[in-house]
Amino acid sequence: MRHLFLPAAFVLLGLSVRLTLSAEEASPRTDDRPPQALADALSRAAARPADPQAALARARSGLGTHIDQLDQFLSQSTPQERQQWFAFLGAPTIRDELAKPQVDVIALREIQRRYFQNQSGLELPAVVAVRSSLTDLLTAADYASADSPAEQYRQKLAELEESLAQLDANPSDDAAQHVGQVVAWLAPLSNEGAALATAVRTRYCRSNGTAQVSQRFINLMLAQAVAEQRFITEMILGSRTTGFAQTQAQVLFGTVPDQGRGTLEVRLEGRTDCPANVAQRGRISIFSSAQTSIRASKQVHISDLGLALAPATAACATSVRISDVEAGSRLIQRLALRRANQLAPQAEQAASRKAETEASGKLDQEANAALGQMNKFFREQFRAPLIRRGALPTQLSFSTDDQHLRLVMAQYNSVQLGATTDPPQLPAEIDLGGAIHESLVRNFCETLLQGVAIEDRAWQELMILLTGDSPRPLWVHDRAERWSVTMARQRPVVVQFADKRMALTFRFDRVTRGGRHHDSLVEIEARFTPQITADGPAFTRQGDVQIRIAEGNSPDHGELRTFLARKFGAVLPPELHLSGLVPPAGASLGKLRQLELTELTSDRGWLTIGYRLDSGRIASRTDVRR
Amino acid sequence: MRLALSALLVLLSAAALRAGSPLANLPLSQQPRLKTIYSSIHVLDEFLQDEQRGIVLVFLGTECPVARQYVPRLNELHREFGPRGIPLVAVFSDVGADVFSIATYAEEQDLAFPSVKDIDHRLADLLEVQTTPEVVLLDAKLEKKYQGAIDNQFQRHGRRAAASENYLAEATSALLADQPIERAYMTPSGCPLERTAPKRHLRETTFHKDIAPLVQKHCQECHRSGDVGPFELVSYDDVALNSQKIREVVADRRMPPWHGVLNPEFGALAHSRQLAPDEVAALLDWIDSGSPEGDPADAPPAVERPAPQAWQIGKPDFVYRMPEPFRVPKSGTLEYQFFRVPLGLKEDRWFRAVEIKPGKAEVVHHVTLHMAPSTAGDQRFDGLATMAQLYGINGERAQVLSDYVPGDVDNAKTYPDDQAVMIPKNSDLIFEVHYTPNGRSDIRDQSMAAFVWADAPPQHQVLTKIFRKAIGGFRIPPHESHYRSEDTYYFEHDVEIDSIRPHFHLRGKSYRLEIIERDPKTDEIVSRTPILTVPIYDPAWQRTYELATPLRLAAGTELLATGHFDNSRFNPNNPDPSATVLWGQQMTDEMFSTRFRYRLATRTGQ
Repeated sequence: MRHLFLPAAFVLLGLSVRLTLSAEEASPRTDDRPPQALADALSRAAARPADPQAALARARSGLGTHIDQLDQFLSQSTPQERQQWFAFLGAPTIRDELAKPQVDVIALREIQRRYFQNQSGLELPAVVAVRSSLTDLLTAADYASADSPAEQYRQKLAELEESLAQLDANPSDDAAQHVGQVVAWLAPLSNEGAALATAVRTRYCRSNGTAQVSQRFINLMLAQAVAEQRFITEMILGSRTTGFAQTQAQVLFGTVPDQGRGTLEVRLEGRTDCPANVAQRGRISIFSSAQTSIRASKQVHISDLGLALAPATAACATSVRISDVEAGSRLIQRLALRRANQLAPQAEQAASRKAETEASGKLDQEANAALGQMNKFFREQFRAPLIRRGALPTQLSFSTDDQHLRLVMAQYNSVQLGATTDPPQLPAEIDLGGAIHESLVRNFCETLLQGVAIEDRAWQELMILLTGDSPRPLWVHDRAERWSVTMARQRPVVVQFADKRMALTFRFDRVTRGGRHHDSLVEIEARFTPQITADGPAFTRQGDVQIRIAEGNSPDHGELRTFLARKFGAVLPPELHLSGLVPPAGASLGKLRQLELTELTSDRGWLTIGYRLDSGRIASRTDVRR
Repeated sequence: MRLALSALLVLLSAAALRAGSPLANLPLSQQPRLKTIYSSIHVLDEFLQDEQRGIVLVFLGTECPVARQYVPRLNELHREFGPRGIPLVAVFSDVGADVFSIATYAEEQDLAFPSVKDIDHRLADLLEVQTTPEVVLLDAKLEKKYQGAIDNQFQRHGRRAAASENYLAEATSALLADQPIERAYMTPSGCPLERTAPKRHLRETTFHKDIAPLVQKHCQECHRSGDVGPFELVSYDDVALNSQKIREVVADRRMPPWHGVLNPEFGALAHSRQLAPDEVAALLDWIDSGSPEGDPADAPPAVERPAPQAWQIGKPDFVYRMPEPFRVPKSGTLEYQFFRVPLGLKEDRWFRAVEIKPGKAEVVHHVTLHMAPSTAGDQRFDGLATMAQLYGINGERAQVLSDYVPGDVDNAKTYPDDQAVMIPKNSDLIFEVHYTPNGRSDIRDQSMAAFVWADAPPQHQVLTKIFRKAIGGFRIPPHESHYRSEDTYYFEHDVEIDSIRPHFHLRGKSYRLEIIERDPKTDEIVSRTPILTVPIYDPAWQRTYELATPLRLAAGTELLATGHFDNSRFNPNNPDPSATVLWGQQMTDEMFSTRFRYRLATRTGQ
């Protein structure tokens, strides 16, 4: 049982981390909503353009309220800490600006940047609320200061209608991006704008990631045998009982049907044998043997907040067989034997209750310790950093049926759209798998990578992680020119999953080599055909890496093109095998080698990947009876 | 007319081949004995599996230039016909070819099929082989089906751009198709087989005058009371009574155990146990002369050595032990175990000597001593997750201080006065221990590491770097005798390399480390400079090859490490030739890595 829950926790956490590459908040399923709802929202928004001053007033009020709430929240800490945090968050400046008839947009934008740093504490709800309302205020302020707000409003609506039509007819990243930006602009300006934004998101922000893991896979990784031998000393019915106890048990995992969250049941099933006990009371010794059947269970609930534990319960039954009694005289021995046999049922009851307390206590102790660590990791290493960066999936919904743990998620922020189609259904036989929509990759990368300079060493480390090798063009050393690229602010990474192929495009605003900079948009694109191999997925590049340089006619660009072709020919090689992600043979991770890649499809915007366990090999290990 | 000529040719060939085969009905006990590069002895029958249709014996000579020219073609033929049931086996019958030179040749020439020494050239005699290269195609009953030349491309005095006649390939194809073989014999052209041993005049050597100094220098470090050698080699009787064992292992270069060869361009290997050629000759002469004792007055003075259990680094300043003894189970396979030992250092600490001692050597396969930040004090270290934390994906994170591995008798490291290893403040020691249960119960190990501190920061900081082939990097097929794995390395800064340690598990066969240069336009390798080769890798003797002269490498210099694995049944260490072998911790899985100890080319503090 030792360390039982730690690996479990990490497997589950690992799953959720992987899944965050495609996650978000509960987006309503909108297929059944008629497009008419959107048309109505558009009509209402067109009929009542947002009043600039009303929008500004509302945004000022919202921000003011949230600053007060932040102040109240910070007041719970020491005065010095409150003051430091308040200053760091620019709250005094914000208050000053709110007191002025006209806010200083430049100053507020400067403050807004602080809220997106990866600084511990910025993920707290009170801070996130200020960040959000500050963004709304800046939008409203821009609107109010426009030459002709009404004209701007009409123009935005027209653009939106056009992009929505394009999104329906011929979905494209450009159209999706434009729609996202316009609804993000409209939402804070009026109730009609907010309603329109909701209508658009309802229709165009479907979940863009799913995953499932089977009960038998969970058991493969986590089920274990318990074999324990220990010396016991207990007081049972006033007798001091000693002996050796040998426990043989299995820890198994089951999935419990639950639509609102994921629920796992950890079960400890087995038996404890005490072949030779001695109960001592005064001069009387009673020799006995005992057997205790153990059944303990504990439910673990999985949600977007992490894991929560229900108390363990146990049902144990002990049977005792008295083999001999020793006493000072034969008479006392006979009396003691009779008495012992009379008390045996009570002793069995007492031993059973004791075993139940021990089994449930142990299950609780192990689980709480391990899950405490896991929740800490989840909160501090996963959830909080993503919140700070505004990248926490807006939907992260777990559920379980009697065979699977499932996750549905959506990854988009206020200026992004989710998937436009429903995720493909993963076959029930898939033991570990998932589907990601191209919007998930696009949105996640845009949130995290926009404007970020990625240095040569990071590209090298990425390739080591993926392939286990360091391609020579990416080597970093004292005799090599150092270089970096700055990811574009919009759509820095774009993927397309269609027609059994996938395309990957990196978009840079800047390329730096040594001390030289190139400052126009550069796009690097490669198309791959995914393939199933014995070692997992592999990707075969179709043709060369395409390099597009905006304003690319300068003679200097030939050299830049050659440079980029060499570097990114290594990042996007002709054959991409994910050798770096292959688990080693043997040991606990070696069990992952039993997964066989059976699904790898790229179609209609979705990449689906699924692994199955060899049923012959796995059957004997995951015989979980409910 | 053409038909008649063909018929005549077949008849002549058959006559030349001579009907039947001297091997076909030879009892196993009388079959020629063939010694592999691992020095294990086999007979020809063992090279024929049930499903095989035949075998091609390729007689090669390590000194024959024609044979060398044919190696690529022979490798192709092995890859073509081996999977169809007729593999190739290289046979070295020259009287001067010893196991080590055969293994070196096989490694250098990249022979894709097994190599054997034909003891006393009996196989060549029975088959009437006269030349190298010369091939003999035998069917499954060991009947000769073809003998002679491989093709008509290379001859002793001439060469063609390409072969126009492929005798061996045609004969082998015919055998596979159950068709008559048109040409059963084609005269080979190459080097004559060297059957005559030189008639050397045996030097007059005696134990006390000539042999005792060699034994002291090369043998007694291990072959003494209480140390790892299976018998003592201290007295005259010790040596004389084991002389035939000594003769065999010395002639095969298996003892003293030293398998690495450094390119002389880079100097010599420190601590080399290898016997010089004249020392080998003296030892063999002495044995062949009947092991005369000589005059005890000629004996050298006895060498004083520290007791086997003593610290070889001298009196340590501090000894760290695993926090508590680890109980090794009686049986089973254990994942690596990790034990954290807090150091409590408030300042950086330098050491100039380190030595690891296993608590119970009988169950300790290896100990690796790592550093880890003590800030992660609550971090658990167990299982493969720890391997990833400590090593990274291919060794890039490893901070290894020292280790104890099988056969590395130079485990005790004492660095020159101007060098030392730094342990940063707030670091802990992590003992990584691989236990191999030995069937005995209740064995408790508490391994330890001893340090001699340096008084001050040195001029040169000693660093360690591990390059490890990625987990997904190889998949060794069942029965594959020559599986190649390559990995390229480089250093970020100009460095001076002080030692090189190749590492495989039980299927490791040979190792080569080279500096390579490439054509910048095509990436083709245009030059190769070998640094270190290990023609026969022995997992029982995992040596660290210390360079007497540091090897200076410029930043970005490309190093190519080539490892070969032998998953065949002729590898005597192979636990299961039928297994597909993957990367893993256990010795039954595989690894491929190189560890360097090095220093930055610029001095510390400059």
